[in-house]
Amino acid sequence: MTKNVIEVKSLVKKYGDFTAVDNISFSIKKGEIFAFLGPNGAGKTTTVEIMECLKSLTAGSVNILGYDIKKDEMKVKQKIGVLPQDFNAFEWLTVYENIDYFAQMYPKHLDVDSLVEMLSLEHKRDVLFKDLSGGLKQRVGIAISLVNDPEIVFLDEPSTGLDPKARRDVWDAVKKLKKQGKTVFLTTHYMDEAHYLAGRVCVLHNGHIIAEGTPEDLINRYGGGNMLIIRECDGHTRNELIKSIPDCKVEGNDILVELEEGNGMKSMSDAISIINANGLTCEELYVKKATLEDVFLNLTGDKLVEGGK
Amino acid sequence: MSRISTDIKYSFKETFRDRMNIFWMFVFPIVLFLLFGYIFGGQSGSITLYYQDNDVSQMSNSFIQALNSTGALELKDGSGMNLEQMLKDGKVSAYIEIPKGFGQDIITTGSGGSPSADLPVYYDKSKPTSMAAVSVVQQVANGFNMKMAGAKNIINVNPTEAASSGMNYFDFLLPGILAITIMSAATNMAVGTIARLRSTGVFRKLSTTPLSSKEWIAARITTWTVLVILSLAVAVFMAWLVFNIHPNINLISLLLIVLGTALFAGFGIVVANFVKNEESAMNAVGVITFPLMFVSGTLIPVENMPWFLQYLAKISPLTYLSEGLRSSMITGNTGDAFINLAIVAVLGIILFGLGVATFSWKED
Repeated sequence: MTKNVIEVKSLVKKYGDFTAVDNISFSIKKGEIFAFLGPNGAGKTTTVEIMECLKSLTAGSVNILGYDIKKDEMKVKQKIGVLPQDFNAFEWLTVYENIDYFAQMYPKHLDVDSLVEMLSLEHKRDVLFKDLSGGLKQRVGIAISLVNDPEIVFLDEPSTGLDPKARRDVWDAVKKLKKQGKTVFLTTHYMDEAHYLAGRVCVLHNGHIIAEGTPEDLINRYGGGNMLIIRECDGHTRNELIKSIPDCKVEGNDILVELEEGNGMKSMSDAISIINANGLTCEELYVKKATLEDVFLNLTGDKLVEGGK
Repeated sequence: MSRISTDIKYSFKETFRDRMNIFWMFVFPIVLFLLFGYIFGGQSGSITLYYQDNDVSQMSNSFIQALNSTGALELKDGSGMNLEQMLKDGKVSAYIEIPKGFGQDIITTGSGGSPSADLPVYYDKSKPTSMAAVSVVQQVANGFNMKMAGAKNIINVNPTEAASSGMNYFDFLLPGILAITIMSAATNMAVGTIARLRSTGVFRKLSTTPLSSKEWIAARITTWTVLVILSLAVAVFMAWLVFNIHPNINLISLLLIVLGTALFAGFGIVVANFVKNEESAMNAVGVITFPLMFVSGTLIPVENMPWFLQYLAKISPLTYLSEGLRSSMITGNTGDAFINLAIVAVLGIILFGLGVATFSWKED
């Protein structure tokens, strides 16, 4: 059995009367990619920043690699790597110099050029940080988070505000970390990011953990199942479909059928027979899989809205 | 140690890459020096004459009244002041000393006895207004002579070229500009750096590394002090090249520069600690330092300012830095320089200590 590298017990963080993190507990095993998923203001960043020794906690305990963060802050700092939210480095230093600056802060550090290479930053090595695009800045941030060859890497919203190509590049970098056997703690409000990267997801809402598991597991439990969608049917076919599939919903000319576990195949084959018998008078037919977005919607009645804080 | 030296190395690199910094550090003080030098240097305003009345007789009083009624002079009572030293320090351009027995001498001379009543006038010939003051005194004395004795020489004006400060306005101005440069460079670097690194999130990143905020301050105050010294060196070199001014560079002036930098950097750190918003912090510093530039005896002598501004000058730390630099670098008045150094040192230790004690990049 692999050991826990992070153990959080009954963590509470209050700002005056406001409780940002309300009594949460979880643990993370070595080598996992673990994601905190939740909308802005759910308490993700607060929790992560407590683990990164950036903020103090109000109550509870956080144990990282066997060290209590309250007692052994310095030891924890030596062993973790951090990409903070909205990361920025020194504007008038180059990519190489920025990585070197942070490398020199640790008694033991990796070779700077090997990090430049690992994050595919060779062609930007001598470019000033202020002249980089958002995606490149994040990659420099990930490189910097690795300077001390940390056992755990914290990535706080690594792809927020990036274009799709830059997000892909950041994701590739995170996947590389997994290959190197590092434990990665990720926060995100993108469900596709959590789904693509994380082995295990914790859904946060208003400072509480409301669900935890692998993405597939969560989708199966809370996603509301798969949905058969038949679009743009003519009136006759539509009536036939409604008659023979009693649980379906009608939206304009479309028919939506929730596929129950076990019974899904029967509904689909019924639908196909009717369409076939009526001379293929529907435009398209597909099955939509539930996503983590649906999980969140079903759990909270809220959407994982983007933007704003 | 290597953490501190790394920060020093890279903060220098950053500073010299941003051309705006080069302008503010090396060009701006020179622009300021030339600008104020030529604006105020030509016309020193009204002619100020200090007097010391050691006679306190009806006669001495009416002579002072006569001087006053010319309207050509601004008369200032210098009783109890060391006018000789003040002239040497360039704070006074001319003064008269009415000797004891002045009134008695006039009466005896007027009634036929001799000798005439001596009236010594001391002046600094490097000051353009001092000769005018001497000639006004001369004319008033002549008027007295005319009225009382029909042009017989009763009052004998005795102009003495005192041990001159040898100081023209540019000499006076240089230490003032250096003090202003120390103040604005140190406060702006402290506030600017802290506010910017906090708002861009660099502090958030730094606080997750083993670098402590105390180590960071130690590194930055080193950088800032060296940058201030470089900036002053360029300004002094320019003053030497263009105006042939030779300031004394001695231990006291160097200590004043270092402690003055600590003082104003400390002030900047304190402001940045309490005003978290970058723009507000810069504004807060500007609102405080901008008036200090003008009221601290940097551009015109404190003695020449209206009384209410003189009070402001007394509570401005910049006054002591500026006077200290002037005494140590230009006039060579070591005693005065030392007193100012002591004041700057105490204020510097308090403000810098306060800054360091309240500085933290850990968030709530």
